[in-house]
Amino acid sequence: MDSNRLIQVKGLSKKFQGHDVLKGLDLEVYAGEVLAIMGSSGAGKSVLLKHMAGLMTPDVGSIFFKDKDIVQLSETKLNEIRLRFGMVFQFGALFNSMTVGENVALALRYHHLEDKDAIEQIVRDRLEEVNLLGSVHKLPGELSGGMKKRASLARALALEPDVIFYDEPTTGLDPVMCENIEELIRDTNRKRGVTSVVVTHDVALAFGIGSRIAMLHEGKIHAVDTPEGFERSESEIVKQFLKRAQRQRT
Amino acid sequence: MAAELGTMKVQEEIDALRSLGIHPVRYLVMPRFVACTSMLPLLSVFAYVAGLSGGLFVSFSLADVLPRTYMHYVIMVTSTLDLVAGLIKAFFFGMIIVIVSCYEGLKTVGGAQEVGRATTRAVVAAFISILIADFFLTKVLSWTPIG
Repeated sequence: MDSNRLIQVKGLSKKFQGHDVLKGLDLEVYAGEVLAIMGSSGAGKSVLLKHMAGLMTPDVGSIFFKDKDIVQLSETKLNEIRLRFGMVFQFGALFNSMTVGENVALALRYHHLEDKDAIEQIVRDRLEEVNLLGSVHKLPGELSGGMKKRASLARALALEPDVIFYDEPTTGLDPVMCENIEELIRDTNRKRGVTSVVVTHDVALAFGIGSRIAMLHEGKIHAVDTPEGFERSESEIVKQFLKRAQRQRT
Repeated sequence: MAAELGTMKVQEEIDALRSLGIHPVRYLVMPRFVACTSMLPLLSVFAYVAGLSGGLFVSFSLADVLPRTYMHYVIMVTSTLDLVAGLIKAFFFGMIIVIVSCYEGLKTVGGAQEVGRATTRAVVAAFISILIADFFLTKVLSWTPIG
């Protein structure tokens, strides 16, 4: 399994205003898998995700991407690594002054990766993939929550990343849209062979898409297992979390 | 600028830029820097013209000073070098406004309330910095042939 390892987080610690959010956390992500990271609100899931995506610097610890410690890299080198990552933010984080099409094209234009016609084609293809082709000229303010998340995914896919990080992809969406997003994540993983790391407190989503599930508790990964293994878990913390989530759903 | 960048920061748009391998300072701050440092001197030229025209209008309509006489005295008491010093100061003031506003905007954390606070801090800091810079620039320019 080690040769298949894409990301390795080692002894990651992060403090905010004296409060320990992550306490020497270890985690591994393997190529091609969908790793769902669960945990209660405020557990530090998004903080962990942003560290893995190279958007935050840990107080202590290392994060290896293909055996390269991204914590030690300069901003310029880190930018090259970031191009291998795609990030879907909780509320989309689309650039409000740009249309959906311009949002998707931005990185390709900025890095001069393709010519004008090729970029237009890529934008159309990515938006078609997420069923948003009709919204190419719309501004983010004209989109619903689900559409924003899909546009954010299209933007992340434009650079053909190796890894996609999803931050709470179903938060604030109705059940039908949740199903839609779940399907989209599964399809993206299957069709493109891309590795996905999904941070969520939505148990149904984690069990629906995760090849493995990791549970974040008190700043550390408490358990990592397959969905089946998780259901059979003897851990009281896992049982309580699943029970609570079940109660919220019913 | 502080409000705009602050809003982008709290809505994770700055993180989104970084996740796309785009340096936020290069992408967001540099164009504002170029715009502000080049446009503020131009704005000063506009202010010169507006001020002189206003003075001419008031002195002619209220004090019966002939435009030719007015312009004669304006030229007598104002040197080209005064105007150049004003333009140099405007360039530096533009620089201060951009640096302070963008710094406050980009370090905003939290929500809408923090964006408001960042904007207020930017205005106060830029205002005080301009007053201080004005003092030193006047001193420095007085030692040069411009002064």
